[in-house]
Amino acid sequence: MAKSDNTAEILKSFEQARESLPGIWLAETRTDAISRFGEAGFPTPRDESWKYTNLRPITRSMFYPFAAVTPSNGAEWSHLFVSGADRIVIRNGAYDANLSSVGDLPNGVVLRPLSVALETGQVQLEGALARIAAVDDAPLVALNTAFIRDGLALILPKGVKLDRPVQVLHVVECSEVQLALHPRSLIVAGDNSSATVIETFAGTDDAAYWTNAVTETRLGKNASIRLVKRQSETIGAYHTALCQVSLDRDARFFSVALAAGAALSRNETKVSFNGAGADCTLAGGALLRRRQHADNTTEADHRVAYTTSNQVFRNVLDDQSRSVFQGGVIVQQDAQKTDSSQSNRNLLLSPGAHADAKPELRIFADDVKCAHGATVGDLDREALFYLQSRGIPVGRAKALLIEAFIGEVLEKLPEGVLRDHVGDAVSGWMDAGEGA
Amino acid sequence: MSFLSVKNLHVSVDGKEILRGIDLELGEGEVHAVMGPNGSGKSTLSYVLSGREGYDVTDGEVLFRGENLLEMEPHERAAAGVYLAFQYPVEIPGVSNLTFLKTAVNAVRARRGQEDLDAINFLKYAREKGEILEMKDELLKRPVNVGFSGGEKKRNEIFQMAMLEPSLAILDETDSGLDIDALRIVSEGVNKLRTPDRSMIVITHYQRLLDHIVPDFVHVLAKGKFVANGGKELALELEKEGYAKFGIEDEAGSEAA
Ligand SMILES: Nc1ncnc2c1ncn2[C@@H]1O[C@H](COP(=O)(O)OP(=O)(O)OP(=O)(O)O)[C@@H](O)[C@H]1O
Ligand SMILES: [Mg+2]
Repeated sequence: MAKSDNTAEILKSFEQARESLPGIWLAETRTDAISRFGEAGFPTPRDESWKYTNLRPITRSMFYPFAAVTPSNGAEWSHLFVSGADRIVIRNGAYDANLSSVGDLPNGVVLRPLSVALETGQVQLEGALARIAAVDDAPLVALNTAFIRDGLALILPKGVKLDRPVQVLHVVECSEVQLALHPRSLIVAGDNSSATVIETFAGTDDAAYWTNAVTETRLGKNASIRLVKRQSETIGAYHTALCQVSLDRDARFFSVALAAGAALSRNETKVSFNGAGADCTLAGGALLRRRQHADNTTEADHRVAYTTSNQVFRNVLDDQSRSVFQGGVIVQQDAQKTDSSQSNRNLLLSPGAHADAKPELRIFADDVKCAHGATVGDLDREALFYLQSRGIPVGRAKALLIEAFIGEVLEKLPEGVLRDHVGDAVSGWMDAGEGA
Repeated sequence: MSFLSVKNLHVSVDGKEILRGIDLELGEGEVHAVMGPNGSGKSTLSYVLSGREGYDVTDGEVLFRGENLLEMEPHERAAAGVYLAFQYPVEIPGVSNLTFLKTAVNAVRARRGQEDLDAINFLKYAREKGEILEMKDELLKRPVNVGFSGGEKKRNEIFQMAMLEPSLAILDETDSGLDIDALRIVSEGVNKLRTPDRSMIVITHYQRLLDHIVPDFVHVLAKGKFVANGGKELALELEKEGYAKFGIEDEAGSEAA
């Protein structure tokens, strides 16, 4: 079949970029990954898990792989800094030392931009980088893997608890060309270790680009990782992301991912339970307007007995926007006593908005609990009138109800900098809608 | 100029006429009781006055201090001094009672040309008013009406009234579902809020509320019309003899008899 998309250009651009990519030891992995992508091409709606999200806007565009020497245009990002966090800033796809700041760390902790770790820390990355997130049947992961250049390397030795959160802030300032960025984060948490990682995505207003992110996370026994994601990409941007998590015995993974940006976004989280007692909470959602499209796709793969997963997703949709939730739960034959729950609610603010919610439960064990529920509705008229009757103007009344709705996601975060960071995206979204 | 003047008010819902010519003159500081069987249109009257959507006024007018009330938005009516204590207070998950009240009080204050209350002064104010209703502090932190008992919900309605200081309060069956103690607390609260410049429309099925809140006038509503108007003795008469005396057959489920 003749390809009408940009696959050929991407393959060509890889050949050009190849020499400049960091970490010689990764060359073979890259070659393998790019050929996987070349064979598979982009996912299309014919692929079951891409039924509701069409990547055509991405596949029809021309992207440049890397803006090697884009000087800072002086854009100010400090409003996105999480105070008290160690911070790694990736600007236009590459580590920016000036904007970054990492304090003293406990012995043995690796907390570095990935580009640096690739050149100096091969031993620490081998066996983990590009080993947790599989490239089979995942062309976008393959593409990211081929182009790995920068991002986060976080390796926690056994028993280490990081007091300060780690923030990886991805910003794009390039408006001359459309960049394709393939940020990669690797989080390896040794037994009994714990940390909080914040991933923030943003760009300058005029930038149009494609972020294709992959985050690989492996948790050892009784380790605990909290991953907070704020996707505030520009309205001209595309964002595709996969977070792959592997949990050992008693490990706990907790994530909150909120999207308020990008014309088209897909946030996919896959968790595999490889040890009894492991637990994960996946919370998130999107705030959308105009013709924005946001897809949250999950997969909780319960492979062993006595594991628990809980998913909470909320979407707010205005105008002609569209949300997708595909909540996957797999309970393998041996995974008796699995306890999983899932709830997806969608708040439509306009008759033109549309939400697709699809729970996907594949259960092969018999002694399990799997609850799920999905709703689509508009603002509660009675509540609205009640608020108005107390003197609250209709706009403010609606805002209160919307905040309460998305608050079910925010409240999963402790009060303070984490909740504020994600909450700012909510208030930003609300403010942008005022008078519109 | 009268305080509230309702003239020949006709109201339809979904094309069905519910109010069929209501006339009501309410003076400043007066308390009027409205009684009537289930479905007679009492709540409809309260909703129309407070501006709920879906109620079509097909004829008549309502002047509040000389102004056309029906043209005002619900929040404008609230700021102008109209307050409705709901028969069925609405639960709003995720919005704390405190946030709700602070937003409401400051919105109303802003429209009345008063400064915002800051967090500390607001809390002081809320405590003060809460005492009148014996409101537990803990109820302030909970989401609006969520998990409140029936009595707590009604008490919350009067508490909000105390906070918003309306000049026209419409109490829609604030006594329904209250036990004796709660009824005493609520009606005492209402009485404390009864001032010479505050008028009230008290909708009820029961004389026992009117023992506490003694009305100046009583109106009997049936099938969307007032069929009797009188003083407080009218309520006693109604209690004793039922609606039949007024040519109204007691509708099934009526609690009045
Ligand atoms: N949204 C609506 N659609 C259709 N009919 C309605 C609607 N709301 C009220 N009605 C009807 O209007 C009539 C009056 O209702 P209303 O609630 O005002 O009665 P009420 O006097 O308050 O009764 P109650 O004592 O039971 O509270 C009833 O017949 C009711 O069924
Ligand atoms: Mg009623």
